[in-house]
Amino acid sequence: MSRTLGFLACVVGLSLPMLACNEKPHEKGCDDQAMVVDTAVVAYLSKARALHHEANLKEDAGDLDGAVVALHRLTESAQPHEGARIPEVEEVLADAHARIAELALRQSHFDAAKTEVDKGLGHAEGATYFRGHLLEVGGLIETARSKSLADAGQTKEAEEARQRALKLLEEAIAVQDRVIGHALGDAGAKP
Amino acid sequence: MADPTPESPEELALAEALRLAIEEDREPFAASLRAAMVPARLTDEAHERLLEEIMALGAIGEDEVDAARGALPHAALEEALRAAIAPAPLPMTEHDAIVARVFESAARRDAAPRGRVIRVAFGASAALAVAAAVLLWIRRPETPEPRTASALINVRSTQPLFDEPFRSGEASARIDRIAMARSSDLRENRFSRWGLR
Repeated sequence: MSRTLGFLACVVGLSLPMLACNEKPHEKGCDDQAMVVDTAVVAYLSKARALHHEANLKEDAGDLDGAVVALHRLTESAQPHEGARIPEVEEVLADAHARIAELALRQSHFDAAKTEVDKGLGHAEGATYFRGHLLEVGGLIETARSKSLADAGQTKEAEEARQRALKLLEEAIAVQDRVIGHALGDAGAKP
Repeated sequence: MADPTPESPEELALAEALRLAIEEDREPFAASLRAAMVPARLTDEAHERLLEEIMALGAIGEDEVDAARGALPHAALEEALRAAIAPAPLPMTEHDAIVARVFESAARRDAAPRGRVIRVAFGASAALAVAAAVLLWIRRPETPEPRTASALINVRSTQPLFDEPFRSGEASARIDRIAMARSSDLRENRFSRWGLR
């Protein structure tokens, strides 16, 4: 009896870790089962592309709110392989939030624009052009806010916004430098 | 492979004589073979005459059957054929002796040190095999396509698609590039799954 129980424990013990990796290949310890580019991922990217072009049409027609609605459909839509952090999906979301922030900035909706930048940064944690671009947009938002506040005679608030803008723009420069350095280092390593 | 020894004139003469005898129904063995393989149609008169002859013989006793069997030229062959087609039941004593020999042989193998190693190896192999079967059974509905994970293209950052910092107003151009690149990857993965790469 104990021998049978031992055998079953062995079977379950061997099966469960492998099964867990099959179910969640993006998790630690499952590197050899990395998620592949599949239909769900590409379908999501295709949908993102269509929504960006829909936003283009709205933007070209001067309908900035319509463009924002189209992009919000992207940022709020269901993602492929729920629970998994797929790099392509994360980066597309980061870029969509950056674009919404730029549209909000053009309408002088500074708080809304800042909220989009913050959301986007949650999808771009590493040193990439996506994160650098978000920080840059954040800096532009605070710059515009500073000018707006100064025009309104709110000198102290304007200076605070200017300082935030400087900080964000410096962060953006640092990230871009790291990305460029990385790229040059990789290129240098190649024969 | 051809027989290197040529037929002698005597052999050739005997073969020709046998061929003629078969052709002219002068060889009893050949006649029996032909009757068995391609029997001639039995006429009504011949059939009635055979029945009368058989009825006239009366009942045949066991001794007469055994005597007839013993007189057959290929009795041993007949016995072998009968054993193959309808074997007689195995006597219990003979059955018990066979079983005892099998158990005795198995016990000798178990007593040897090699037997323990094989059991352990078999146990581990069986556990791995059952674990693999459990995984296949669980995963099968979701992965009907043949797949070699190492040959497929994984999801990854799109950063290498861009060689300079992003500029405002180019977001749709970026998603164009990303979508097209990954569509190409998906196509490659499909070819891999179909075994075309």
